[in-house]
Amino acid sequence: MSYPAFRYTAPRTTREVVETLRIAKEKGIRANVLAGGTDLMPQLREGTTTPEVVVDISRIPVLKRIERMGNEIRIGAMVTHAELVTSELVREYAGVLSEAAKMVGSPQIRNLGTLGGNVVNASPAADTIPALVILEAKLVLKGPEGERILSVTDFFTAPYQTVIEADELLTDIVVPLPPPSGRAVFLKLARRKAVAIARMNLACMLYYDRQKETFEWVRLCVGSSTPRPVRMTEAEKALIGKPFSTEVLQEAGRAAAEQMVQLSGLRSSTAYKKPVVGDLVMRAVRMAVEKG
Amino acid sequence: MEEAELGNEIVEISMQVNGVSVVLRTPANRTLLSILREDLRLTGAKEGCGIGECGACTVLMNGKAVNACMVLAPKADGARITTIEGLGDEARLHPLQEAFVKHGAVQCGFCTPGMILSAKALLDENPNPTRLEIREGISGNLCRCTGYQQIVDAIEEVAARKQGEES
Repeated sequence: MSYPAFRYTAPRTTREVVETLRIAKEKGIRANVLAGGTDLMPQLREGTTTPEVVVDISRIPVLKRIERMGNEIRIGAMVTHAELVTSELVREYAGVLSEAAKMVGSPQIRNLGTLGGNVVNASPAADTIPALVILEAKLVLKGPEGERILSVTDFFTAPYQTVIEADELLTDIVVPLPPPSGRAVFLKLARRKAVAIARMNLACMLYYDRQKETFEWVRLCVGSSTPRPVRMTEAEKALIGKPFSTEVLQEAGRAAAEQMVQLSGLRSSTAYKKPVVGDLVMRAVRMAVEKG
Repeated sequence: MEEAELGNEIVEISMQVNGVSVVLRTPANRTLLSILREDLRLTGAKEGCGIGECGACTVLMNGKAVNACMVLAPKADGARITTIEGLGDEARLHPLQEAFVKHGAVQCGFCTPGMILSAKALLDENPNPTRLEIREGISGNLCRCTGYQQIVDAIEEVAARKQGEES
């Protein structure tokens, strides 16, 4: 099995990657960045992506680091899902991202696939994206003119579409440390447990004050259900300042379902997804509160 | 200068395959799986789906289980690769191979090399897995014959035996 011929290069620095991408763009040559390959390789096989140049970014050590810098965790774009699952730093400060990474594909896919690849591929069903949204992560894009940093919610424009330019490289995913009071949950629904694309996934983080008996803050993002990842702000509002009760949870579920339909329109899957998104929101909020 | 930065269609790859150093020149647009099967004639790793869903092509790259069908060949440059041929041979089977035979965990055999390498990666990392952890460890490998029970039994026996040796 081989693909239409292409040229291959594996730069040693992010600067060289950007320079290669810039030259390719200038010359009108189709270049693709190769991270873990779990999305690009099937696309090459199916012929849906036909690069003339493949730029492998797996030989750049700085893209593989996970480090704490002040009040942030900086995760290199080439950090694999398996590394997100085992990293002490990520588990301690961004546990929901670990939980999401654990749900990706299979052990083999998690050993290859990377966080940067999952973000740039921009599948609406990507598991790590809802987690990054509720962590209020920022993305560092490096281009010929320098770096720009944008919020993860500003990165996506439509399914599989992002604002990244042909001569830009995602180098880091920056996660601000969430308030220690937060309790987080990640849920995924799929046809089976492994190697399955999410039908729906959800990341939730909240702080429920047991003395005051109110939700102090809530962050909710449901994946695979909106054209681009967004916070379920209506459901968040339905919870904040309210006590933990069945009625309040039901109201939040309804609000999430309505916001989903508003953003996605009525689709063939709506009959299934509308009640399910409500139930998932209720389940996740309950689980987060029960975490104490 | 500028052209050089766009790379080459032919690449040189040097890697350790089952402990043996291999150096080869090849077009870049191939998978590690095709290098192993076609150039090195190591046909234990199989091509099933070709898109990372079935696990029949599973090999170990630097000790970790990967789908060789999704590894672009030049990515393996500098890597240590273990295929089923590196585990044991007919005269001297690897304990996992022995256990698979004993438990009837092999029927058509197509998934077996990948299944055994996933099991090896699991036991190398977690020598004493629960049944659930075993099932998770092989969750990227499809078997359409056995129903998995015999495979889990076989892996469990090797794990127990390993633990026995240690204590």
